[in-house]
Amino acid sequence: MKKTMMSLLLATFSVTSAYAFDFNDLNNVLKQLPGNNTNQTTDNSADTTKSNKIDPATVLLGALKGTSVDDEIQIGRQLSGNLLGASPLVKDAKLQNYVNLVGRWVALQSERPDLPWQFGVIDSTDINAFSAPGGYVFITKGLYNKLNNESELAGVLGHEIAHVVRKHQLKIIQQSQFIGLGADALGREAKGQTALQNLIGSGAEVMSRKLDKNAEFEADRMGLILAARAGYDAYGLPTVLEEIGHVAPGDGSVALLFKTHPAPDVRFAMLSEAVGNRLDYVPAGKELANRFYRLK
Amino acid sequence: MIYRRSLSALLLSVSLLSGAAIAATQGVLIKSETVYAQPSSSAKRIASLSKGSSVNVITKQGGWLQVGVGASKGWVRMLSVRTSGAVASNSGADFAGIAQMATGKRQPGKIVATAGVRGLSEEDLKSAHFSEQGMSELAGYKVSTSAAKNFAKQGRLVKQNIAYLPAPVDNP
Repeated sequence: MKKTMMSLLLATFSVTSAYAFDFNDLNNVLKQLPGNNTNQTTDNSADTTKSNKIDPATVLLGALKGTSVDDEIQIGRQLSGNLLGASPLVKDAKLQNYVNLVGRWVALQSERPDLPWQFGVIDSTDINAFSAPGGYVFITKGLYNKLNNESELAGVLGHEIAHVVRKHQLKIIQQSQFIGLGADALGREAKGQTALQNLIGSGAEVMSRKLDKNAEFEADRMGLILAARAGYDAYGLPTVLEEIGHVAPGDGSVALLFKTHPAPDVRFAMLSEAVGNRLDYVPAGKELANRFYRLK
Repeated sequence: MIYRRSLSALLLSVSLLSGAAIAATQGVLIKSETVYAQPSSSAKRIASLSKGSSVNVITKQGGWLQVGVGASKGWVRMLSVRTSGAVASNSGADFAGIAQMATGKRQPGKIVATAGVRGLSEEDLKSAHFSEQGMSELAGYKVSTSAAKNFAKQGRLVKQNIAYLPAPVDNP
């Protein structure tokens, strides 16, 4: 029973949040939810069916209705802990500290400077980045190794920060089809960290879900601007997209990234359209290649 | 075979470290563009390039790439030149080729697992269990707002007031 409940909730979350290097503009994702669940629900059809009989999902969703910042952080904490269960942090305190300094500075340029932002480099050769509600942002060692300077790191983190700022996953959860099944009362009972942990359970599959491409494009546009606001060269993010575009599509290290995001050249072209001549008179930012922390 | 794979990996890391991917790359214009004498849209216009034109990328400076077309040189917007997938030539193509060798076969659309490399698959994510230790480590690395501001100051990073970009009207 408990297991079923967890997998159900997991499935629910999967529909809602996925963040990867490319994030989700939740608004767009939401528009798709009612009629167009193709990708998301196909994989979980079994669980979805069960959801008609069991209530736990609605419990969780009820709990999330009108989510407070504290709830948001708890949800993000659970998802992040699950991600770290799959892929631990790189054991390099200097690296982790450096990424936190860059990330925090970039996040300070956003509309949510006061979230308890935490950044981590996870020990995976995959090329990807993730984020979770409440200010949790992760980049893989594989992607970090592709970077050449601090402005590129700022751009990548900016993309993830944008997903958090826009509350992409939370909005999906709150507005998903599961809401309205009359679980508000249950929802109130379900609040609290322990309850959330039990409800979300294990697994970070949500991190591997494909979200609406427009969410990713939006996060790209925001990430570029957040880095520029922080005083960095605005073109770090598109430079990284070019780097990623050099990796052969068949390479396993980009399998998950390419599955969950629009192709890098498409993202690059969308940024090209969005930027145009708009940044022509912005003072040149810094790349800070010398300060960039390189992995041994 | 093992030797060849290590060699590929070595070559791959060398190209990454040298930054050669940009410096010696062939690019293709993804839109028609003006070529300027300096990296600025207020500089003298010296030529125009049509979409699809091939250029040699010489260097990058902020949002601008210095490119060579035939015997002449000039600056075009970095976001108007695609270097990835510019199959036509040298460095970019070599780079892709190396990655391809390292992976085995190149099969667009198909995922080829690279043996011996620790990736992060959907399965890994699905079966993950909460790591209390991981979260505790993560929290230990958290920095304060003032530390971040100080760090920015050390890097002489100057805050800019820039609005977010609207979504483009037409998808390219």
